[in-house]
Amino acid sequence: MKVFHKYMVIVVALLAYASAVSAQEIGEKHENEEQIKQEEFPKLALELIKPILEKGKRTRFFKEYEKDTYFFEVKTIYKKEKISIKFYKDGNLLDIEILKDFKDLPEEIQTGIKQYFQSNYKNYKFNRIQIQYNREEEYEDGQLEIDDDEEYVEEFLEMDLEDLIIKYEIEAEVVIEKNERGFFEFLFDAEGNIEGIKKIIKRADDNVLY
Amino acid sequence: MTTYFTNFLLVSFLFISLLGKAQNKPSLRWEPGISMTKKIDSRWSYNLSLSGRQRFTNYGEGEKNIKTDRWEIKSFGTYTLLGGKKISLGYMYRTVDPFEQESGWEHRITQQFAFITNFGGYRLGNKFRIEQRIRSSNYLTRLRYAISNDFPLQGESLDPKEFYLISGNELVYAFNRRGTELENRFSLGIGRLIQGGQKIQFSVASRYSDLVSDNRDHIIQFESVYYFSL
Repeated sequence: MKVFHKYMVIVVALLAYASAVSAQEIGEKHENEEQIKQEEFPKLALELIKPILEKGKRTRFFKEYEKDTYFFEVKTIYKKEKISIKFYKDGNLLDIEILKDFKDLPEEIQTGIKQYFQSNYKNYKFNRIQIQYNREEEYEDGQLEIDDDEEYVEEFLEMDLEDLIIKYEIEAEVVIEKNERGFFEFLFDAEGNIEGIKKIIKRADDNVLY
Repeated sequence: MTTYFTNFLLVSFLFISLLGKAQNKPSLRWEPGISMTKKIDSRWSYNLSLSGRQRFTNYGEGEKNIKTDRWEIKSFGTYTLLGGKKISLGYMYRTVDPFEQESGWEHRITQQFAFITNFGGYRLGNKFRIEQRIRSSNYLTRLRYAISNDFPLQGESLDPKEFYLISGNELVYAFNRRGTELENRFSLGIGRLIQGGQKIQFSVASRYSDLVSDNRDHIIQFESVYYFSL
């Protein structure tokens, strides 16, 4: 029995040392989100989305820290759609997203996206799908014309799809040929072509598993 | 804010309703532990944990009985399937009453299947276990099912220095040639993410053993675990 206790002391000491080493190796990109009160949200932003806030249900306000800056975000249910609206720290609008099921996407987009995953991965599973409504940017007479925030929100409320740039954001778990798996956020353009991929860091589940 | 408050109320009521069924005085215990997880690659990981259990009172009359009633070391190898489903194989060695003259031991082999589901926006952990317990006193097989829900108290994602609540319930069915026993374990806890995958979690578990007979025992167990990953 004494041998076992000695062994335990050694293991505890090793674990404590390993933990001290691991604590120094932090440096992963991490988005930090904090729920805040409506009063802490930029007034300019609140004014801009007043029509959405008036009819929105289960509205929540967040502050999101990313690297050296932060953003503000509203999440609400508006006309039965789960909407999130993100703002820069000065209260200017960044983008608007609606949470969707894959089957709600246009059929040709579904086909394009499925083809992308089938040809690039051994296996895949979609976790979260959002349609992004971005503001239009176009060159008119050589000048870059960008919709202002009021026009952007108005176009979104009217679902004026001709004046909004649509993108599809998909969080998915994938398996590559070597049998490795990972979580990524895929961004597809309005035609269903891939535009970008970001790695997602999942919350640890060691306290639930063991 | 409303979400976690509603959640908290729900689990509190469940907890209180279980407490109300107490027939005898519960046995009070405290189990501190340390748990280390190492991710080998995107599929494989292993976990090593150490814990000891301190008893304060016996069940029944609730008389004082301060002693360390077990020490254990556990290890699990886990393989992750698509959809976050995880299969694990585990081994545990336990010494029972390590400081008593007559101490006992146990070798335990565990097969586990676990997965996380989302129900109405809640993250639910589901865990099925089969255990072979080879003990100095006898042999026992156990079937276990546990469901748990954990959620951050600030925002939707758990960020460093933030707190989370965790609640869970587990049914444990044990059998051998001599008979069967059914046990229910309800737990409620609070944890804090420190940094880089390090967490500290405090919980209280209410365990009712022998649900199938009238001879029911009740244990209130406080648990504190430090989790870290390499």
